[in-house]
Amino acid sequence: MSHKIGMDLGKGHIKYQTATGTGEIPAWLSRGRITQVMGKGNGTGGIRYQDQEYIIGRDAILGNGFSWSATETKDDLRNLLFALYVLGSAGIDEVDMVIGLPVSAAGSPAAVERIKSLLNGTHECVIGEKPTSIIIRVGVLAEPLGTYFSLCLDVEGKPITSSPYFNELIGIVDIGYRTLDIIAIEGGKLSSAGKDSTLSGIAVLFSRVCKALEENHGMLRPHEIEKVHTWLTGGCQELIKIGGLPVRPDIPAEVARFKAEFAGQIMDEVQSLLSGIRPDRIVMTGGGAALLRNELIKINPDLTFHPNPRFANAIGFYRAAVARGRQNA
Amino acid sequence: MPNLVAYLHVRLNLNIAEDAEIYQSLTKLPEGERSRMVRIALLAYFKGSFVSGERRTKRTKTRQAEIEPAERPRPIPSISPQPTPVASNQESQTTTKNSSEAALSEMLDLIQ
Repeated sequence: MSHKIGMDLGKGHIKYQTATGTGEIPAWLSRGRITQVMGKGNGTGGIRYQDQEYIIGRDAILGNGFSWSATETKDDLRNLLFALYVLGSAGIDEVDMVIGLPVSAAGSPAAVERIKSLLNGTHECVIGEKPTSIIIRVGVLAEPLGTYFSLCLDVEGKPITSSPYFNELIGIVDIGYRTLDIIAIEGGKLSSAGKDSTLSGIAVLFSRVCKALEENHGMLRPHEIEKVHTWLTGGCQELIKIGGLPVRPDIPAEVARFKAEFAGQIMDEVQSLLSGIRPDRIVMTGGGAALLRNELIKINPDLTFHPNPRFANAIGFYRAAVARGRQNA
Repeated sequence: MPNLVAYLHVRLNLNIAEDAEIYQSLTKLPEGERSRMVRIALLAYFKGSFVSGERRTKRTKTRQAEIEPAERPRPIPSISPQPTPVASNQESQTTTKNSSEAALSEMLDLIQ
């Protein structure tokens, strides 16, 4: 039987949901091969594809040509490698997968076709030491629709007709790593207005904080940037060290100011893009919604936050894959 | 200002030559205010709020309307789903099921 998976190919992390639960790996990639000197490792590792060795996830900082960026259309090889690694590690050899694209890219048939031709088909690879053949059939959604499906479909992919989200006109604001995506939807119908992507993802905030730190510590290395990201998402609880030196004690206050300003910027954009729609409610989702929740609520206490904003899209993609499987059965 | 120029070109595909007046007035604002106004004004521009000859006369009014909507946003209820309504008879159950299946079918058509 074909497995189902919802996969959110984010710029910061790859998040996914299968029948057994959710998971994520950092969206990092390098070339090379890991040698485990001692211990059992941390669950991230390597993949061999088309005679090339790659290191996936946290261990990628140990390889050559470290990279962590992807295009907005997500149609580069790295996303296929992440998908194969996730599927192979989970022991899945045939899968119906649903993924998301930013709203702007999902509206382009050419962009959708490019990522489908990248992912669809039978792929031969080696995960760890195990040769694997993986068959992927992929469906593509605009990213915030994942959040909508997570609210309107149950785990079996059946519509939750009692859900207030099912019939209301709702605006969904997905604050991702690189982009902020907005859609408006009512009763399963996607509005053609109020639908857009902007470049106000939380990378804007991260880069501003990193820039402030670089004034004292010099240019940050990839693992230091990740350290800063983790520190920010954890609420800046304790002062971290960069290159062995503690960060300035006034940095948390500066971060708080950055966050408040950035939340204001986001709400300006949301208000502007949804002003012609006036939805019954605005649902905030994505990792940025989790990070900026307090600041956003201060600006608009009426916002609704998804209960699991970081995984909302992956959960919805999975439920959509299950629903489509039921429909086609 | 090179970043703004890049933003205008790449993000909004805006013709700088045509809109030199807007561009010049934006450059005179303090940096924080400028970036905020650029976002609001250009988003509105991009959404088609400003059209040809009407653009200059309506610009201020349109921008203000977008910043301060005439009415307060409607209150948003809790995120928890409401209790499942109890169908009064078999017919209403069938209707609900059919309409939800139809809605589901439309929703799944969104998968490309």
